Order: sequence, then C-alpha cells, then structure tokens
Amino acid sequence: MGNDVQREIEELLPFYLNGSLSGDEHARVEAALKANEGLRQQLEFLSAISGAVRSDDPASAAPGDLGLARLRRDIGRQQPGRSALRSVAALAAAFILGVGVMALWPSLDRGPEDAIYEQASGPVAKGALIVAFRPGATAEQISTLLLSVDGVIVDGPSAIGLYRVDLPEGADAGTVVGRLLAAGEIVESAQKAE
Amino acid sequence: MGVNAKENSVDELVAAIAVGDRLAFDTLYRRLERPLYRFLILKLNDPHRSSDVLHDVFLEVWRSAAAFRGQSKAQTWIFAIAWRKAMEVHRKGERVTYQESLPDQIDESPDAATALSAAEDATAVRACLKGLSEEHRMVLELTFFEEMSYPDIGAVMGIPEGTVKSRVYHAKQLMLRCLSAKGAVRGSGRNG
Repeated sequence: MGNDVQREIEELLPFYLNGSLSGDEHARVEAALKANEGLRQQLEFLSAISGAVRSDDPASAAPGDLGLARLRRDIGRQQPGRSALRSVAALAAAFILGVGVMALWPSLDRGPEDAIYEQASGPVAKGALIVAFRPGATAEQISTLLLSVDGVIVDGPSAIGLYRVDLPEGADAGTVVGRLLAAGEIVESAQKAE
Repeated sequence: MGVNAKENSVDELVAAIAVGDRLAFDTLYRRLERPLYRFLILKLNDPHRSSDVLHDVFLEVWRSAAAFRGQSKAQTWIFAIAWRKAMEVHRKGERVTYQESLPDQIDESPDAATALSAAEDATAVRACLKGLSEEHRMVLELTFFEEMSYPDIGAVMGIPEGTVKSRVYHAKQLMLRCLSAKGAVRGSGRNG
C-alpha cells in the first residue's frame, strides 16, 4: 500500500468507526483493514479515544428544564419566522388600535359572554383568558405584565377592545386572573374564557 | 404536523417548529440541549456563557425554522448555528479562559505499541484529550460523540471536508504522541 493510499485510509478510519462513511468508502477501508495489521491497531487506538470522549460528560451542568422554561417565556413573545422587533411592533399596533376602540367602550354592562367576545371577523380564537387593558396602559407595561405570567396575546382586540390571552399548559388560570387584576393601573378587566 | 412521539427525527421536528409547533420545540430542546451544551462548553470553556449561547441558539431555531430549506440535515444546521454564535463570542473577546494546547509539531513515528498500551488507561486518554487544542478536540467530539460524517462536520465548522479529515488525523497523531510518552513514563517507572 503506497503512502498516499495509506494516509487516505487512515484519514477515513475515524469515520469508519463512527459508521458515517459512504458505501464505497466503507468497503475500501474494510478491505484495507483485512490486509494491514497496522491499520487494525490504529482502529483499536481510535476506539479507545472514542470511548474516552464519550465517557467525559461536561454537559452535566446543562441548564435543563430551567433553560426550557426561559425559552418558553421568550418564544411566547414571538412567532417562528418573525423577528422580535416585528412582534413588539405588532403588539404595539394592536394596543394602539385597542386603545382607540376602548375609548368607544360604552359601559361594562356585561351581557352573555358569547355576545361580548365574538369577533366581528368570524369565529372566536382560542385563549385561556379574556383581558381588557386600561386606556392609559403602555405597550411596555402590557408586555412586561404578560411576560410575568407567561401569557401570550393570541387574538384581539375585539370590537370592544378585548384581548384573548393564552397561558402555558398547566397554568392556573384563576391565579393568573388574580395577578392581572392586581395590576389595576394596567388591566381593566380579566376573566377566564369559557 | 403533530409531534407526539420521541422518534421524530430532528428534520421532522424543525419542519413542525416552522409552523409554530411548540411541542416540537420542547421535544427538540430535550433532544439536543445536552449535545449542544457539550459542544459549546468545549468551545467556550465557560458554563454560564455556554448556557446563554445555548439559549440564543434555540431562539434562532424558533425564529428561523421556517426559512430552513433543507440544504443540510437539520441537526447539522443547528450545530452550525451554535458554532457561529460561539465564534461570535470569541471574536468579541468574551471567552474567559483558554486551554493549553499540545505542541503543533507532530512526531510522525510515535511508539504505536506503547501508545496502544497506554490507551487502555482511560484516565491517561482523558488527560491527553484535555491537552488537545480546542480545534482538535472539537473535531474529535463531533466525530466520536455526535457521530457526524466528515461532510457534516465541515458544514458545521465552515471548513473543507479535506481539512476535517486531516484535522482528525492530526488529533489522532497528537493523542498517539501524548499516550506514547505517558506509556514510556509508566514503563520506565515500573522498570526503575
């Protein structure tokens, strides 16, 4: 076996060991191994290195569930394929529209929920809570508040300025309603959707 | 696509994330969190910084999944994002510490038999691994832990396939040299 061929086979050995070679390459290495004791020793040596790499586990300090919770919070602020800037702009635009409609809100004389929450554009969207924000609340205040309860606006404003807010699976909607209502300078009303 | 089985491939999970499937995102996180963290900490040598970059990687996956066109395997694409972000940290000079490297001069004729004997000692092998430069350690990591092909490693690290193969080859030579020396020391200790 010439030096160039030997070197070529030696370069392929690690990938023969990890099973990622193409069929042709695999067959070439296999044939070379049968004919060359030195290559077989090298394969054995690589196997020892592979074992050591696998046994060392620096990932034991990985963030785990806490990291996932932090991600869920952050992706709640955006949709896939959209930049955070666009999402904030959308929230701000929705809020401005909502404030305009809120100014026309005749009263809080609630009728049947279906009548209140039905969207002019068609069927109602999903959402665990129905929330109305104060006319003076800023987009930043709303965003911060919703982030604190892991809430995401999924629809709205309705014709009367109501927003539908989704919560993470397993969240206690009643508790969240209490926390939203406690922020009285931002939230005008909040209740669980039926 | 609904995601309710752990058997979904990374490609399928990314396709589901592209249409906003949060369950797929959770599944992808649980599948790749530790391999990516392991990859990042080898590059950055800083647990806190690695956690932050890991977070950024998954956020970018969430944001960019719809733009992924399948030019490579999805897992290769995600590792390439991690590599790029880790390199950005390097460029900003935010890496906290540096690992020492073995000399770049490679003895082309290390004592293979002695090295092979020393390789039976896992502690010695790990000690030699830790002495490798970051570049050599990374290719070994991607080869033996992630079991990537050399074209995939090239795509992740942005280097030609030939460079991947020669880098792994040199890493192996450095390990041979290191373990050969350790074996010789152990041998002389026994004889003396």
